Amino acid sequence: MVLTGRSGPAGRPAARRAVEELLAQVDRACSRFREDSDLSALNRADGRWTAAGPVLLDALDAALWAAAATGGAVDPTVGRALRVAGYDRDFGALGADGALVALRLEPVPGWVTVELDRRRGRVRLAAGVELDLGATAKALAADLAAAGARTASAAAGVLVSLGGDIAVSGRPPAGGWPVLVAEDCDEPPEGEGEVVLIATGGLATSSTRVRRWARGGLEQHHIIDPATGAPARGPWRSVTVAAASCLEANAAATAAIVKGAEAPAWLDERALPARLVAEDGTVVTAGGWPRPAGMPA
Amino acid sequence: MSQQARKEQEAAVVRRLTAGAGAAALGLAGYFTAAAVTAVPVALGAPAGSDQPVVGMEQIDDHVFVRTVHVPAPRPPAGGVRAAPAGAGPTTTIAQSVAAAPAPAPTARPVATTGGSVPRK
Repeated sequence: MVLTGRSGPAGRPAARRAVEELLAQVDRACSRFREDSDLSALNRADGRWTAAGPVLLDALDAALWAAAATGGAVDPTVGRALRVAGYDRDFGALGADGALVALRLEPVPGWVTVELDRRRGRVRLAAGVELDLGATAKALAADLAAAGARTASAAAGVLVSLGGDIAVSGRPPAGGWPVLVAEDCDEPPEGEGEVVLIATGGLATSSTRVRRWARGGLEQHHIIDPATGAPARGPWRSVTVAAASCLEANAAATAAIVKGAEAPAWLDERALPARLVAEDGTVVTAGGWPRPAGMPA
Repeated sequence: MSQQARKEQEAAVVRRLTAGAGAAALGLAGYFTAAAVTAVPVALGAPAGSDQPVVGMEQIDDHVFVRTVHVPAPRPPAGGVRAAPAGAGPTTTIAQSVAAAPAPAPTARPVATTGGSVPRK
């Protein structure tokens, strides 16, 4: 988290508390790997209506918006497909390779099967449907954390990065917030790579490179193509998108991985600045992504 | 949108955030496409009483309605994206910045990295 402007001595701890509280709420509501989360209770409900708290309801709102806005490319009903593919526990607990298993791949049930009753605060999934909110909940949390940290600290501007999902709020530093674009968010900001400046909204990267595992020697990753129920096998290994919010950026970046060859045109149509890295390392840009400084036009 | 309307919207966002997390704070909640509804109070993906623009409403039978609403596309950032100028500048960190003024000039030294992530406990 980075703050700009005068926020007083209490600003920094207040901002940190606000972010930590928000993240704890989101984790309790939306984690697929916590038995006690609202989402786990919903995934176990076997077709019954399940009470959902406001955080899960908002996260579902965001996930369903992302599904609708991407034509179903980013679909929260991939939970079962991820589990079948072997992503069935916290990533840190996954072995590098697991036993060979027979995978029965099929299209995911689809986001339109999710019934959300906000008035009564409840949700129903068809029996056997499991949700995963990984494509949207963290990005939504980044947006909310940036706004919340700014409010709590009275800083002029705030940048929050949650595992590479970046959201900014308020007044940026002169010139904008400088962000390194990498395939792995663990790359230190001072590392080598393209640097861009954003003033508003969010910046997010979806990559098939960093969250990989194997089952029976077959490489898997966490971005599921809802049409097949299998990890997306498109031309892009990494896509970075800037948008009006981190949620929108991450939804578009994940959609681009799934959409494959048609992604640059899809991003262009929406004027979403994007940087796509092909499997062979070739970089393609779309939607007005800037040419790196010093590179001839 | 007028400046006054924007201020009011921002104030509403802040109030919402202080009350708790919410996609509604981003103005994204409640925009969903066709919803097949098997019980009237149950609106698939659409908050009851929300004011999202309803494009169409079709009644299939006594119990099933199809409600079509506008779904906004992901929006580009208001300020766009620019390439950072070559060269390094001071990095503003949370520890340094609490009492500091905004950086006086564009910086090229990044303050964050975007990239794929492995979740941590």
